[in-house]
Amino acid sequence: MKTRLLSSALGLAAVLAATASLAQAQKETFGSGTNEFNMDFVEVGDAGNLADTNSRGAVSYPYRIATLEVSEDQIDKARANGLANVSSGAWAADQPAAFIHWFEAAAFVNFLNEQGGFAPAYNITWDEDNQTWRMEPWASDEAWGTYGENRFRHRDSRYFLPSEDEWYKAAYFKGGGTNAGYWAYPTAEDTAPTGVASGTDASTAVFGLRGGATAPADVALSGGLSPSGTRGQGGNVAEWLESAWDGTNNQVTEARATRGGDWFGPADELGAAAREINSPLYENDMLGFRVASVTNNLFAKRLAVEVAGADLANNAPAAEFSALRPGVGTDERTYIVRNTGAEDLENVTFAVSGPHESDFTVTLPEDGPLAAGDTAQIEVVFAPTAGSDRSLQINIVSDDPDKSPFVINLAGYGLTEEFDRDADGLNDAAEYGMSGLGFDFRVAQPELVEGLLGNATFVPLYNATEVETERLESFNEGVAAGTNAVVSNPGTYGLYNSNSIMDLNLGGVMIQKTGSNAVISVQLQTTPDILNQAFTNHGTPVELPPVEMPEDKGFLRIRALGPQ
Amino acid sequence: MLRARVWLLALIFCAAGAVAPVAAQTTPATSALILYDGGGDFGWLGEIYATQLESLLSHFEVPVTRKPLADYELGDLDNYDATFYVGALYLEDSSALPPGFTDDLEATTNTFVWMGLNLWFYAWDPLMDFADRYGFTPYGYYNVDPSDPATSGYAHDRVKYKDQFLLKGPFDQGLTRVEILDPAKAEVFGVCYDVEDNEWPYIVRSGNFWFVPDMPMINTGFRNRSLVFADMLHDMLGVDSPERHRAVLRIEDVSPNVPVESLRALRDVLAPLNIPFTISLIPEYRDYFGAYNEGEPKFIALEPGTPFAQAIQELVDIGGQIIQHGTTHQIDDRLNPYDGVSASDYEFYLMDLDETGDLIYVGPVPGQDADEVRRRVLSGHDRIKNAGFTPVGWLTPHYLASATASEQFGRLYPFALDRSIFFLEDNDGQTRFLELNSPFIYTDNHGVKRIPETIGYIDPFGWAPAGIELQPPSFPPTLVERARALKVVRTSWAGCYFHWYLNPAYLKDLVEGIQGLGFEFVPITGDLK
Repeated sequence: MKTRLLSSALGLAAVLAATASLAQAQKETFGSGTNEFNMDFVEVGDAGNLADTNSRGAVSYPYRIATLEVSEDQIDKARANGLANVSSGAWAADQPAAFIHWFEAAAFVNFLNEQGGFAPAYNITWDEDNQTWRMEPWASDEAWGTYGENRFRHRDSRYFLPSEDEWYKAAYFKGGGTNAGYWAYPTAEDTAPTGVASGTDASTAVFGLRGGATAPADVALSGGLSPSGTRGQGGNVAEWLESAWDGTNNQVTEARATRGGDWFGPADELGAAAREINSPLYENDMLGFRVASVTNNLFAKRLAVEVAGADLANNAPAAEFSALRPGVGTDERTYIVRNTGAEDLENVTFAVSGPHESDFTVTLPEDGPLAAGDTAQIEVVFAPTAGSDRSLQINIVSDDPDKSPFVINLAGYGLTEEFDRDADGLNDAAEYGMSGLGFDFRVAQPELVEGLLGNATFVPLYNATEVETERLESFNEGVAAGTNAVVSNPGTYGLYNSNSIMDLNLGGVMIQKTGSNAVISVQLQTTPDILNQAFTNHGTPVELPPVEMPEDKGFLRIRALGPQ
Repeated sequence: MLRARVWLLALIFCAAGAVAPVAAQTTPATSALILYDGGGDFGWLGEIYATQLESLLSHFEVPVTRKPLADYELGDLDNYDATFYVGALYLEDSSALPPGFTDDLEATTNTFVWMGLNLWFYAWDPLMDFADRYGFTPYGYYNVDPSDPATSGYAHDRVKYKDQFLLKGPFDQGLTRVEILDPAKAEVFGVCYDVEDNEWPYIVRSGNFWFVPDMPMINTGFRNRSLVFADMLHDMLGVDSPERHRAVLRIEDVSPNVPVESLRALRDVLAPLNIPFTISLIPEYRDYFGAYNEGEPKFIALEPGTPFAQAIQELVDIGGQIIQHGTTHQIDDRLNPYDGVSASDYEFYLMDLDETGDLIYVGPVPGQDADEVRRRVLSGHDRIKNAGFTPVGWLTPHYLASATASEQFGRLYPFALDRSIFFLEDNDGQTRFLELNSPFIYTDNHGVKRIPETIGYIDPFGWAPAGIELQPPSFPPTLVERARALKVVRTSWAGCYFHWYLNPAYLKDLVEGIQGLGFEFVPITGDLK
């Protein structure tokens, strides 16, 4: 980051030069040799201006916009400098570049950024196989996001297509205060300008041309000036805006807005009320574009924050500190605050705010200037005092026009038995204690928890209340059910049944019966060698007297009388 | 012809000393010259063929210079990477060739493509080493003379190329028959058959010299032998394009008068096919004289929020791209020429009918200058956008428009999904025109990039005015076979369309049949090449 910005600053110094052709215009140079070309920008101030009655035109930061539409000559020279897969050519030389679709305009803007060593504004690539441009939205931490997430534009790009609000403000905002109001036409007036074929007179614009040989004028002769000092925002060629038609830059193929009217169309297309929808792949000879840019100041004063070696986006969602049990351990983190701009940040102040100040010990730097390239350090120690979510914000206020206040979101979590973050039935402390078994207090794991609780009596996981009430009751119920099961199915458990003779106690035989009265026959068997010969019957069986035992179950015992 | 053959034999035996042909074009040509026969009563034919060839060459992004052969200047051949001579007219004698032309031809190391007639003036010149240099020689031009029954066998009706038989139409049965003398020098691409099944070499290459033995711009219908030439252009220009076959489907003549039920029936068939497709949208329906409304005029414009707009949105949601198909697809209060109804009449060319009902191509519509064409197109364009849709391309009603109108289409849209029609005035001031059937994307001389329709449309009824079948019915297998023929061209497109009022069930067979050949339906953009 630092290296890139240093080279950017050098590039800036090389390309910036004063120009007297337009008031406050800043000339920048691109390309090289015979294929060098210039582009003038004017700064649009009154940051934080109010929107027009149609809710358009409010821009909370200063920015610059090219005084003229991009010309065919500029496209041709960019091509000669390596810009590829951009066709235009509806017109020639200093006439506007037209017959160019949104992605091609975006590719030209990326070329300008590349020339200065800046990040590309748009995440586009040429798909040679399918002969088309592909675009992906930037990730949130790369997107132009300070004033509302814009995933089309990169946060570190210097040149871009103007958003609808940026374009609108440059065209119609009267200026001189944030509540100055808006003109109806981009020639600083509320009545339609006079249509001309070419020229720079005030209150004129190039539109409504007829006659067969009609064409847009050279970009420098495209009518009178707008209140911001641009030319040709009304008429000549309509212009691509960066913005999606629906105002939310999230779907890369969605329809884009265009504005400004053209050399052929009527005057009302030049007005603030007129906007058009177009496929980003649409092209015709009446549709071109102009370039917008950050202010030099926006790039010169720049505050950045790093944590763990990576850039932190302003107001990015917090990365949680380690979850801890209150009073047990701490987690620490260091934030590096860096002035990555070319100029000093004059007055940087640090403050914390939020509901859980007692859970974070924040060591802030002294308020004051932060020189270009310098850093300051914020130390944060997290030690929760209670369970559940703990959060705090660090607010860094500076004169960075792009990122003030810079908000660092802090978040941590206290692990206690009182909270069950994932609501899976097992409290945070218990899950954290069994993390080695796969439990995660952040992730609902109902099957794992159910398996655990089903065998709960084997592990000491319940608190006293649970054991004495719900769990114990369940256990008792389980025991009773188990006893019944054993008694009812003794064979299953290897216990006595009607065919078993198990009792050799005292030489007697115990017999368990089931069913009605018992009839027992006894067969005497003998063997002369118990170790080597089997028993054989001796005499006939003797039937014992029937036993009256009508109960379903009963036990009988044949007692041995001798030899003792 | 007998004289020619005798001369040929003499040449063969007189050939002495090996003259090796120079190498063929192996790097992409960066410039091309087209020379054509432009003089006499039929000079317009040469010019219109040359114009078509220039359009085909635009596919290869080669800057082209085009001029009559008579304007050839010594050394021209060395100033262009590739030169094409369009031999469209039967020249009387070799003096019709510019002085020094054949000398330059023999000396150049750049690619030269001789198309059509008159090769004999070069090949049979005893001062040239043609046969020895190139390894082949022409017998002469063989064609049917209706007055001479002995020539009936000179009808050549098909060409076999890449294992496919392609048709030579009845209006172009002639062929310059050649004999291959040295296969090591002369390579043959395709075999042409006459009606007696005799085989004749078709396109021949010998080093940097190519010979195309007929005029591939003539009579180019479906499954036509012109596809061979289109494919060989890649080699002639040294362009190593990977083989890729793409397809585009149009849902045709969709105006606000179309029942939403029909659109939803199409959606129900198209959705599971999961392909990109285009919707040819006519933003303003007009039945100016009430031809289909009991004599009462009927106008319906596309409006946002209507059930029709909703049904269109549902097609867009499943991959449909909007193509503007004119603004009204008719001309206001005029029968042009049929009934003044949208999708029936022409919009950008004045038409009439003769007493037998045949079309008369009158000319540009009075008052339709560039401004009016632009205004008319943009009014429809704005109406589509006002309904919340973003049209991406253009489709000329009935493919026919004046040159002035076509130029404006090319300035208002990045591409058109139709075919070019080239206009030319002959020596009598009569307007001549010819349609180009290109198998691949090109930009024509009006500046319109065309992603061409190449295999026609489903037509269960055919067209048989007055009982004469001018166009037989065509069903999905018909179009699939046309697409199969296109596979011989390495960068071909299968472009087709389907009218909303037909049974949508045809679509499934059509799409799957085309896909089964290896064509891929793709989204359409102006970046495509």
